[in-house]
Amino acid sequence: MTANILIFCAAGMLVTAYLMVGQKALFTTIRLYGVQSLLLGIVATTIAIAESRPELFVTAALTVTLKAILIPWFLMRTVDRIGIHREIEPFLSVPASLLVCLGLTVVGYRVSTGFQEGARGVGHHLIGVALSLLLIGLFLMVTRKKAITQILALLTVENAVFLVALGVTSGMPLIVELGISFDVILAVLVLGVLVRRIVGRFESMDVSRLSKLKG
Amino acid sequence: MVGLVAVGLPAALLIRLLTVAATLALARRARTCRWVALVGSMLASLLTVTVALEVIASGLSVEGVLVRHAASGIVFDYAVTPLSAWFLMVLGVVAIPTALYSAAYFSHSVVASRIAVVGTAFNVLVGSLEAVFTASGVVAFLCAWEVMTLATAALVATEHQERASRRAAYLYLVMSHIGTGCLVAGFLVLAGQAGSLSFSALLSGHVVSGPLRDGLFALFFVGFGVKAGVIPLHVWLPEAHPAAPSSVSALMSAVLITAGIYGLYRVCGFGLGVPDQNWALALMAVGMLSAILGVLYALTQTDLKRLLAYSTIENSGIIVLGLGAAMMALAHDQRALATVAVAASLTHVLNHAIFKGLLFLGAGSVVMATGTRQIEQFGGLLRRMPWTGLFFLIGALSISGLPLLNGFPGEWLTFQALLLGFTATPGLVRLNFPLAGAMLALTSALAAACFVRAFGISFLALPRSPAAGSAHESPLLMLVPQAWLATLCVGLGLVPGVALRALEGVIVSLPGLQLTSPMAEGAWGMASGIGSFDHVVPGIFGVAVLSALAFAALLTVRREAVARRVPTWACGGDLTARTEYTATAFSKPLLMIFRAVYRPRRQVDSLADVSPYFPQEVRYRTEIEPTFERYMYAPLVRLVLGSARGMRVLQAGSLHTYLAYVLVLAVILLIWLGGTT
Repeated sequence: MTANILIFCAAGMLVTAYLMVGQKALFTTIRLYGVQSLLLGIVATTIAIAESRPELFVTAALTVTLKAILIPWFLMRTVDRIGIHREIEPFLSVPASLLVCLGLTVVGYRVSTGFQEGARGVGHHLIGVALSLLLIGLFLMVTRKKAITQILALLTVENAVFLVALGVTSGMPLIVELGISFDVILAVLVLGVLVRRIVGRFESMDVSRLSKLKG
Repeated sequence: MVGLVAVGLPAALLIRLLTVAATLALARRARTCRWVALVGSMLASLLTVTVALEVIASGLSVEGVLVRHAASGIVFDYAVTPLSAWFLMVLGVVAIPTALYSAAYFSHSVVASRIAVVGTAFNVLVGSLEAVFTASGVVAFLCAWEVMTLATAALVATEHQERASRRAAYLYLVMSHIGTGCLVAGFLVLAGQAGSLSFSALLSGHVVSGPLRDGLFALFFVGFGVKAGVIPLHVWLPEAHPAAPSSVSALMSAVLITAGIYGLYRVCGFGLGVPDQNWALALMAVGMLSAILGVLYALTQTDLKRLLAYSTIENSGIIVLGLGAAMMALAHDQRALATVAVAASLTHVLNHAIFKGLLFLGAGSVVMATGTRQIEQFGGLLRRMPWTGLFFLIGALSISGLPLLNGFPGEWLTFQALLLGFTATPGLVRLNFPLAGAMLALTSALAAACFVRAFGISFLALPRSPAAGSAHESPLLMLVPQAWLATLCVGLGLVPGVALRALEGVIVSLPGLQLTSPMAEGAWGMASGIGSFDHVVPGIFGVAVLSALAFAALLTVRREAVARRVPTWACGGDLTARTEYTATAFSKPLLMIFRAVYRPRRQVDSLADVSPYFPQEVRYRTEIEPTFERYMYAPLVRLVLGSARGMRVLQAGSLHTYLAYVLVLAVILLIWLGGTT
């Protein structure tokens, strides 16, 4: 039962990542990230119940409040204020992106077989999903131009790292979790401000225009 | 005395550090700052010279610890071996008068706001040179080596508002770093093989063998060769020497070059075991090339300090040639011959330092009085600066290798070694010796021509510019150091036995060398110890030559002739500076003879109003081909810049490209390393 829930949630996270790659509307992308974080919270809760580790509840609660509610809300507000709602043409078309992501997933799963099997017998799948998620997040950063999408990609990478930690070691010490959460909040705040600045200066959220700053 | 020797070097270092601190603290008060810096430097130098002389006299090394840091296990210890002591003495002999000279010279030639920096750099340079000569471990040596490089670069860039100075400093840094890179690589490999960082283990001669040894030799040869200024690694030297203040040029030319020579001795000559014949050939070839090309380039320079810089290359070549001959002799186990060659080379190190220091100080006085370095703007300075002129003349005669002066002993011993080498070595390589001898003879003759030109055009005849006409003699403080060095020139020329006797202890301390008979016959004579016709007393020789000249003059004097004093005939016109022989004209015949080397380009423009047969003005331009810069360094620079430009594509400045690099690299690494179990 536990294994089923874990694999289901992990698969859900991968699916949200794919949807993010295929999606151009910024609002939907942010919501997809929220769903992804929610699924991560469920993973944490499941492990907490199955292994009766109460400190993981705190982690799960943090994840859900912060990443599934607060950050999406803040990002949506930012998008609303700026008034740019759609990603313009990415460097790679959507079908091509999906194909590349497929390849990245294969790489992630292939690599995950090298890890030792986790205690619950699902470690291999969790790590496979997490590595794929990480590579897809990086790929999103490479191909997307909007600063908001870049932030979302970074957060996806962060989710992936979190998932690896859960899958391999069944959670990091609480103090580390708290530190990471704090980092994420700060990163999002700073990046949110930066986005506003970039838009104010360039009339656009296109990060590739930043190269004009070169002397 | 023993106590002083034991604490001499740490005490000198302490004095230098205090001096530097005081100099920087007093930066606002230029005059006090100048005196503190230079008096401190003189005191410290005095201490090190005392230690050096004591070590040379006793032949026993002095060792000790300079800095010990217990936590990191770093120990900088020093060891004054007789070889180190010799170089330390050379440094002191030049550094003390140079510091005294600078005390007056800096007040005119260095802006008050930069006195503190220049004074500090001067102290750091001399201190790091002392550390280079006495370091007994790799770490201390390389640290001192780099500090020395940086201090010199700072001094070269003293007048950094001028583009040429900045360029010279940059070129110097680039070349030095190439050299230091080679040294670091060489020492690391050597230390890895020896399992130790101290010179006594590293340079025992049994650490490496085979091709690795040859490779290490090549690395060290390039590394030290850059500092020694041998052709083709000399490109920084003619730029850096003129750019620095003259007293610093004196120090650089006399002693900084010697740091490279010291390294060549310590590592290439006597640190890697019995030298290979091919190494010796390489050293001799480079020495010959430097000597002959150095003097040829010196001959055509119109910038006095550039001329002296090229002459430094020449002398560095002669010193390296002597070392090469010694290594060749050692390779064939001819110890007596090797001893003569080493004596020749080390004597020349001392003597070159003295007369080149003197010449640069003289050049500094001239430059200060006239405000230019161009020989063509001088003229008639002997009447206006009689003392400077006299000292410069003594220096010029010394560098030409005339007997009675100190250029003679070193060159004579080098000739001796080269001539004896032909009979002492087997096979075809022996032909190398007479070839080198012939080259050296040509070099000496050309050096004489070069300094006849330098002295004659600068100091004789009428002033060629208003600046030269209104020149004044330098202050006493600048003349005393020159007088001291000139006295040494004459003294060491007359009694070369003193220096040679002192050198004996240094020679026996080097591995593989032994003294079969004393080097000196009394104080006045020299004897190379082998062969039959090899004893000479320069004093008698010189007096004989002089009296022969006097006798010849006497023979030509006729009784009935009456001397008549009349003005010089000027073809019926007025006698002006325009009728004088110029420096360019003086070297023209030699330029034409050695056309193949110089490959001169000449351009004559005549500007005429009415008819080309009545030119208003004739302009003459000549320049010689900068062979090494154009055919060796320019392609190298193009290669480096080209590949750098090629690599700039990677650095596109686009965020997405960089992220893509990360992604691609991560995926490749994951595929390559991941999933193996």
